[in-house]
Amino acid sequence: MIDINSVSVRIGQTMAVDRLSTRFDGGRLYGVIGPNGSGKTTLLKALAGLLPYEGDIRIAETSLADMSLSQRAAKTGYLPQERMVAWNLSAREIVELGLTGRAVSERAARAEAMLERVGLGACSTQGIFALSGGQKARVLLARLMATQCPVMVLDEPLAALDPAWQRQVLWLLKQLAAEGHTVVVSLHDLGLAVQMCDEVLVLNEGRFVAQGVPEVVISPEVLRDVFGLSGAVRDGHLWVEATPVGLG
Amino acid sequence: MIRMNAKLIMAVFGLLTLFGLAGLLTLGDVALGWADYTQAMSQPESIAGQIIWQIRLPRNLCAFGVGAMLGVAGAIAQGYFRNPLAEPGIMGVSAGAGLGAAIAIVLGLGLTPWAVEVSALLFSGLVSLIILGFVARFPDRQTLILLGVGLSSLCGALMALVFNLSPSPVTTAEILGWMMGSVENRSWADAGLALAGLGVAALMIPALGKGLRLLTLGEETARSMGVNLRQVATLSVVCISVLAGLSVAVAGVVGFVGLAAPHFVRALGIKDPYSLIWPSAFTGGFMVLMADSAIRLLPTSNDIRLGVLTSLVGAPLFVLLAWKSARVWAGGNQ
Repeated sequence: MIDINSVSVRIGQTMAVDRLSTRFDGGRLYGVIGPNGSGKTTLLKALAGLLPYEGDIRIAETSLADMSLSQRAAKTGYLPQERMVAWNLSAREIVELGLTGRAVSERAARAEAMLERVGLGACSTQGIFALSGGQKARVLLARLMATQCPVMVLDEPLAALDPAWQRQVLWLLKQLAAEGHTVVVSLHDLGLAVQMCDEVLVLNEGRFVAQGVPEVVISPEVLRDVFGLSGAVRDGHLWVEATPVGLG
Repeated sequence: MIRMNAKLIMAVFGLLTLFGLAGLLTLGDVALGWADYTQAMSQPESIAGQIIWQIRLPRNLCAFGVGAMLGVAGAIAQGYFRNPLAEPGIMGVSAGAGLGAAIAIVLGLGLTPWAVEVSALLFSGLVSLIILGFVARFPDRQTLILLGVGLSSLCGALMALVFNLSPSPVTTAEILGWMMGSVENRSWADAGLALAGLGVAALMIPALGKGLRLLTLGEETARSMGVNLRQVATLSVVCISVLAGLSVAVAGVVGFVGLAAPHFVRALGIKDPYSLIWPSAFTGGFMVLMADSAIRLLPTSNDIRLGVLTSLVGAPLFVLLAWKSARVWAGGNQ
């Protein structure tokens, strides 16, 4: 669904993503993992068309560079790391922002359904400022889900969520993938990536390290060389030593 | 707190304005009874007719029009800059218009018909062009705010220079009077200017809807949803510039209305930055109409200026609103 061919993104003097080539298919949940500064956010922003890049990104065989703003918006939904909401709109009004251009009755019904899906059906008329950080994150996720874009790109959607809701959100994303969407999400929690993602893409210093099923890709060598951790994946779970490599 | 939708707010404040206009036309230095009122309607050339048609009605319409322009400009400024403290003067256009008016007065053109208004418009247009030049290259709201602060300061410094070089205390007083705002002795043409400003804004505002709404979630989300930020910035700047420039050209500097009118609408339940634009026109218009009527009717030996009264009355009300909203705002953006 998404073909990335030798894509480079420069931020100032830094090559934040360096000649990256990979492919994300529909119907799968992809985790993009890597240490801080590895280029995860930059790659996701480039996929959403928010940063200029060299190389080619194709979504459903169409180059991102050839799409108009509205065509791009119809194909790719994006949830940024930043969770600032400027005005105290109700949860339902926020979700309805993802349905701009639809009929009023459809917007209201779809927004309510999406809020139910993220467990906030009872909060639909509540102002966003009155919600907790985790609830706000789920409202913004519901806004993204409401768009029904074939590609959904989420930058650290689990931040501020409690452990139960982190898993719940990843289950929701897995459901979206099962419905045929291509879901790409950046994660810091390697354990959750192992448990929940169909595939992971490992980045380090803007470069491709590995991609594939988590049990294979998150090897002891990758843990040591990329993340500075000592550990391994056993029986579908990540086991990591308490002390990072080099501090022991 | 009372919650109203946008149409209800416009209907309520529209009706209040209509009733207010009808009643206020009979009140003033020369009180008019029902007989005078009916005579004025049937015989516009009569004394009562001239008082109503040539003096009070244009003045009242100017007051409402100026308030409406400031309300709309304030709502757009707050929506675009995503800042509840934004107001029409944020980009320096009002300061530019004020400088233009001051220069015209100091050059002795104060009594020349339209000279002050045209000069104010020319200078506000010049400031707007500088801003639009910046927007073409940097459509970023932080840059615009910084530029606005710079241009406001520059215009303020030039205004100080105008005062400094003013040829006489009378001229200085005339400039000061203009700076404090008034719709006294305004004509139908002035009311027409205000109406024209609102008409121009009405043509552009629909194109701002999607952009202002989605900017609620930040620039990245808005862009990812197909919003052309450069277009939104340009339209917002043009709207704010036209409305702020015209309001200063028509009535001088009338402070606080552009900041407060959108907040009054928010207090009535409208939070969506696009939906509150036109209700802000009605609340802003009503505020200035009432302020100007109070000035006309208050028995004071010296005329209180319009801008002084709007700030004197509006500021405490605004503080009350801010106090009531403090908990809500404090909960945002954790």
